Amino acid sequence: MQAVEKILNMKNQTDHGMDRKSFSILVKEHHRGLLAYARALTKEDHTSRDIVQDAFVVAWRNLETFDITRDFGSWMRGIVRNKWRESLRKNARETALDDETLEYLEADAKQWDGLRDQGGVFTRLELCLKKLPENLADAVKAFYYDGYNGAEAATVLNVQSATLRKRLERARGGLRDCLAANS
Amino acid sequence: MKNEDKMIDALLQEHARKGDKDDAEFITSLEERLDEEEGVVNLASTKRRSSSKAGIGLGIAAALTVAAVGYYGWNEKRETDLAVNDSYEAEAQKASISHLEMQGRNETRLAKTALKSESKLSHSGEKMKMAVSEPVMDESVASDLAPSPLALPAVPKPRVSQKNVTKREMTRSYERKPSAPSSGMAKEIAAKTKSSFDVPSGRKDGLDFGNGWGSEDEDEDGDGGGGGFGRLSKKSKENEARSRYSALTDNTFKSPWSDPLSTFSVDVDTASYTNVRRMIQSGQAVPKDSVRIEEMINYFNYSYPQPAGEHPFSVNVETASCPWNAEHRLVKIGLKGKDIIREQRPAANLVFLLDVSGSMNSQDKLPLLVDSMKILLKELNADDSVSIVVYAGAQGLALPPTYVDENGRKVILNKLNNFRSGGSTNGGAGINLAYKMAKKHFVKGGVNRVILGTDGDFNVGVTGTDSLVNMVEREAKSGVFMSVLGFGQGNLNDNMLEKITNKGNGNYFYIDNLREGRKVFLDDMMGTMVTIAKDVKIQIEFNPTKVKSYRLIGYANRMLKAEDFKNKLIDAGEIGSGHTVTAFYEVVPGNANQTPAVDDLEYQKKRVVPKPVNREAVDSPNMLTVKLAYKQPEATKETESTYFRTRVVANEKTWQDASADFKFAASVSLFGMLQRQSEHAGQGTYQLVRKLAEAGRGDDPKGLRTEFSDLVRKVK
Repeated sequence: MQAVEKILNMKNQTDHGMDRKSFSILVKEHHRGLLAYARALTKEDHTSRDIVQDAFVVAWRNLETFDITRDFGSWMRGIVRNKWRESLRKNARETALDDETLEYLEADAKQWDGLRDQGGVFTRLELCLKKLPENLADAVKAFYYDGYNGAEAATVLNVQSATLRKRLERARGGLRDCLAANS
Repeated sequence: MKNEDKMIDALLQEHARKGDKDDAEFITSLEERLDEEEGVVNLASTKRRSSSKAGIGLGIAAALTVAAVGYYGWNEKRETDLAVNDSYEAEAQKASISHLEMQGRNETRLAKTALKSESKLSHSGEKMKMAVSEPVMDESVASDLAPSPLALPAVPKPRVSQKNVTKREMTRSYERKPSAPSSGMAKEIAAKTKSSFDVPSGRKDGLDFGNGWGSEDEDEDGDGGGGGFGRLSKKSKENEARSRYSALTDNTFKSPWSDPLSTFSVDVDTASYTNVRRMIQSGQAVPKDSVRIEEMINYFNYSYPQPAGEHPFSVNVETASCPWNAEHRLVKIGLKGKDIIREQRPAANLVFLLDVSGSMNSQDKLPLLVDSMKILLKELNADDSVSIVVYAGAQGLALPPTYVDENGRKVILNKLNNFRSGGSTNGGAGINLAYKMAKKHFVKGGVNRVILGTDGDFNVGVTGTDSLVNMVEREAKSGVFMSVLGFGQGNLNDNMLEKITNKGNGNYFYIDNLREGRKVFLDDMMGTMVTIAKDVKIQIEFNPTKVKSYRLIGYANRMLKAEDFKNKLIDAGEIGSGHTVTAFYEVVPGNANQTPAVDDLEYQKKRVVPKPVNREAVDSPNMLTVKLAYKQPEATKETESTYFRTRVVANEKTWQDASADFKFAASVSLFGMLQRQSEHAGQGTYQLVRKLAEAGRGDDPKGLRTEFSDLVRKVK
């Protein structure tokens, strides 16, 4: 496992001077996935970036406690989750996700970590997007990429809101299957 | 959405943001933080070495007790951060084993460092470069507010666990405590004075509850009064309703015949943008009066050339068609302050005036302030001195002026690591003390500045806002400037904080996260601290044969009377090294109507219709003349200002051909106008804002412009 080797390399460094370079590689490899994960938790762009940053800093400080038999991605997601809970406590108005949802998130994220050898989950996602049937792809494009909200996207595509919702749901399902098939 | 779809949903959103590329901005900013971490760690390890020499025989038992308690608190905190306690994390047990291994190591380290702190305390007095004798600077008061580590053993030692626990986390352990009781007297005064200003927290109906602190200064703020505020609070969250904004009245179109001159003071504040960004990002409604367009424009940097001539700043004018009204022209006036290379920066005498009242007791306030100060500390050197005055139930000197040499740095860091908040606010006395310190340690020709960090729940006692503002203004005359850093939400008294810096030479920033703290302290403040010109006023004279009417965008509360321009006694804003200041005029081109539609006057002679002085000047292609007045930073009130002017020729350029800076700044202006529901927004839409922002993004090395585009997306 790549991550483990890298950590092992770090362990060889002297004193507290763990290798920043290796850590930076891990950051590069994992930050986008973690940002997506944090976004699923917070549903918010800015907060998710703050949380992931904080999590990396905590990880860097505590690198020596990282259990090398474990996967770096799930370790990081654990820290991200705790940072997220902390932010929930701060802003009492947000509500936490239930355990079931968290398990779904973790399952997907873990599976997608496995796509690293194939260029990473984002690259795979681009391939999968191309395989979507046209009407689903249009819905995804309008809603996710063109920045329309649900109602606007429905108007643009000239369909009912309910139809759009259904298409998005099918598209998400399709993409999940496609990503799963590859990992 | 189905639960199992949530992750793919987030993945798509994240992909829409950056494709399959790295998030360069994220990585850069993280790397900076890690660099900083290494700095802190190194400092801690140096200390550790010296400690083993110093305090070997000192009260081992006591130290161990402290260490044990400290470790307990530390470990508990660490668990929540690191231990992965979800049920599906089967391997959590293994992790706890490595915790145990750590424990032994850390206990020794803790004991050593505890010893070190003790010995350090005993000689920290020597580090004070200046004896402090005023009774008001009672050390015991100071240490009550910012307890030394040994006085409060339940507090884990930041020094000790620096490597493992974040500074913020340290402070968090204070959070659950009730705020420290303040002296009865102060509390009583606080209760009395506060009640007249504070909105009762349970009140949600948004009825007219006046204009916060602003009532004495209505003239400056226009005639909006409290009405707008009441209306706004209805839709804003209760939280936001408690923040106070004074009503702004936008400038309207004016004819150059009736108002040939437009005069205003420069403004390098940026707080409004940060505040608006925070509200949008957290999904709150943005109160109209929190949007100060000039502060939004000036949040961003523009690439104007360095001044070449005798003046400390360059003036850059660009004219193009107005994106939101095809008939109109847009004139951008940009000033750029001379860059002063960091090494040539004069010595700084900084007095931090920190609000440690109970209301600062949250992650985005005091701990963030302390973290930001540490960033600044790295920039300072042995010529610079830092002192810290705290205020809450009582005020006190937490740190006498201390030079930032090797030892001083440690003393300051130690102080910063041990701040906590509690008690009510009494800023008035604290501010006195801060100025006293600044003057006592005044560096001639250097940077003398009081930096107020607060959430603005500022209880000035019986003196009132006005006398506070006057005081800041008076002190600025003597060469001590003020910067205000606003923190947090809910309590933020935006109106008063801005007013303090408007009148006194100073600036106001709002800090909502560490990245912003870095920007403010390093980019903005290091610039601001080296003031290169003060009382900078801009006056525009329009040529009535080329301009039918004009309107200044933003600067609603920065307008000056035409005669103030020549009046050396009238205060205006300052420009710091490297700062840019940008303003837009929206101009209706054409011949101004010579006879304004006013009924004949009954009791006085009809006003003489103004006539052009000089046919030649009027017939010239000049559209307008930009005039500037400024003083050197060390000038006194009596010093005559320096004046110079630039003439601007009309052209036919379209905005599509304008510079990236022009497009971007126009985008921010329009965004601000839309947020303020301005009637002048014309055909402007959020789509146009985005289009302009994209077109004007340029290199965007810090990602700030990209962030702006993201923000606009969010609003739409």
